[in-house]
Amino acid sequence: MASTDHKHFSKSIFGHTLTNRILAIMVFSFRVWQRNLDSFKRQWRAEAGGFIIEPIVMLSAMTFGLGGFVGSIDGISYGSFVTPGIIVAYAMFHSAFEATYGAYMRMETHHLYDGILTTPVAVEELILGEVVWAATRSIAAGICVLTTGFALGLVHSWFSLLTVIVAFFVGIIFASLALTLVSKAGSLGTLNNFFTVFITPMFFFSGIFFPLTQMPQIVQTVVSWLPLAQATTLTRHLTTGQLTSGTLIPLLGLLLWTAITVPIAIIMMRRRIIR
Amino acid sequence: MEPIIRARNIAKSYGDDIAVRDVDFEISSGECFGLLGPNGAGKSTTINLLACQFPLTSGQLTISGLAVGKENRKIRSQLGVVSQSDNLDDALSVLQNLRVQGRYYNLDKHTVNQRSQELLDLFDLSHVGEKSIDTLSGGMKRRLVIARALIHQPTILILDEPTTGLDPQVRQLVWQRIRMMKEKGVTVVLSTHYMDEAFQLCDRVAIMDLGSIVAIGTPSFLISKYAGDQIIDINQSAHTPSFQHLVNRLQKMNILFFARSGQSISVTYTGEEMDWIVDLANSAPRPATLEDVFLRLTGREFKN
Repeated sequence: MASTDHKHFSKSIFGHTLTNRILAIMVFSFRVWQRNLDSFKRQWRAEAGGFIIEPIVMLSAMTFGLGGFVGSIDGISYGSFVTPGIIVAYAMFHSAFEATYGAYMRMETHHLYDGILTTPVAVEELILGEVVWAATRSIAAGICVLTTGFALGLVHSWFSLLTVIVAFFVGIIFASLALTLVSKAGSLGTLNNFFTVFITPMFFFSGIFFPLTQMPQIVQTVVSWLPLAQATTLTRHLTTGQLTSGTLIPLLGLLLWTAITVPIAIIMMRRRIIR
Repeated sequence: MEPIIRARNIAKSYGDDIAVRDVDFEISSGECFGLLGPNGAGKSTTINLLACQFPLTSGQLTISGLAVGKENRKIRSQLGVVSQSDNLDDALSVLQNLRVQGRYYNLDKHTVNQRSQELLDLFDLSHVGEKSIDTLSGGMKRRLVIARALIHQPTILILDEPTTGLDPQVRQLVWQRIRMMKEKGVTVVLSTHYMDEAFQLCDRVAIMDLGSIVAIGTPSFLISKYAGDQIIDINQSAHTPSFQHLVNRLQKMNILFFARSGQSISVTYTGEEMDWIVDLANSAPRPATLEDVFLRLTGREFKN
């Protein structure tokens, strides 16, 4: 008889109680996350530019280029006004790219999901691992922009460190939205629509580059519900240190988006993968 | 002995497409069980059902006493699955592919490292451990896919067409390793298009067609039951009468025969009273093989 390694599993991972299940979800999602980290470690050099050079170029251009013309907005320099939005926008882009093209390639081109799903990893854990991995890249992206902001003197409060957490939630939300789209995508090309129709417009209309007060009331109302706009408002309160009770509204907004998008992504992807 | 795999009327359909219909079989612990059948017969679907890849449409499937669909995680932790395509992780090295797989089974680092090394040796891959996947030959990739399925020392090994597209040397190596696993007591389920592979490796085979099992048993039992002892092949040529004429005559005489192709018929040879066929074929009878059984049971032309 071949030795049976399943005995080495802590029994609890196979149990059916709520605690057992939560433990299993954490363990097996982590395994998927670890695989992505290993893959990233092998090719991080190719991606370093996107993480390090882009934020420097972006913030320098905004601060020293555009900032020279604009002067200040709402009493703060243009560079300081823009930085918080750039933190969350980069978090969004990194997560959205990873969870669209990255996940689609892993699933359809390299058939990695097929392989993983013959192991004890369940499809829900696979998807959750993918979402958390994409959000981990968002944290890295957020840290890179924040560090650049510190270096250029654009952030003014130690509360800025909390923007990393906001970046994480932005990553979770956009990875979930991206995977929901992937669950319906027939080809790699379909995913372009996510960026042209959704991500890029949101990038320009979330109050990152100009205050929304310029816009008609209806636009302001709609935009205030968008996750990137909420993240921008929240992050701006943090980097400028101007925390008010109004800070809670975008915070709750982001938590709501998280609570809605994650289960939808898991359900939709499960439906695509398991027929 | 209690069977380790028990399938009771299992079926799988996608909408109106029925991939597997009411299939019944049992596999004993330590047995090597083969699934044969033309493309689209339901072999891969059956393999995927065993691997707990998707829910059954109906029927009961138990593996090690655990119900597929209810205890998938426990079942999967005992299965080693080799899929038809080489779904290796291109972003990782050869060794990392094994390590990442070990982690999915929650093996500790020390065990994974030790076993990875052993498996690389066993599959003749130790010299490429640090290489990336895209530098490997097709044969190396296939060996790695099989090695990867063994990292957690599964009790059941499931292989979907393990040697398709391999050169004879690699094929021999893969066969040896499968035999080695069988000697260690691992239950093996494999699908294949190669009759010699099934004959060499399998204790029993099931021949599938159109989603059902049409015959099941040991290769020698199936051969004697469906093809007889010896076979005469008749190829259509200028010297043979029209096939329709011949077919009519064989049918009238209640002689077992089946089409190899549109231009070739095989007839079960039962004795000297059939020497007129030997004369017609202008060749001596040959021993029947599993391929004859396969062609007879799944052939589309001259079906009798």
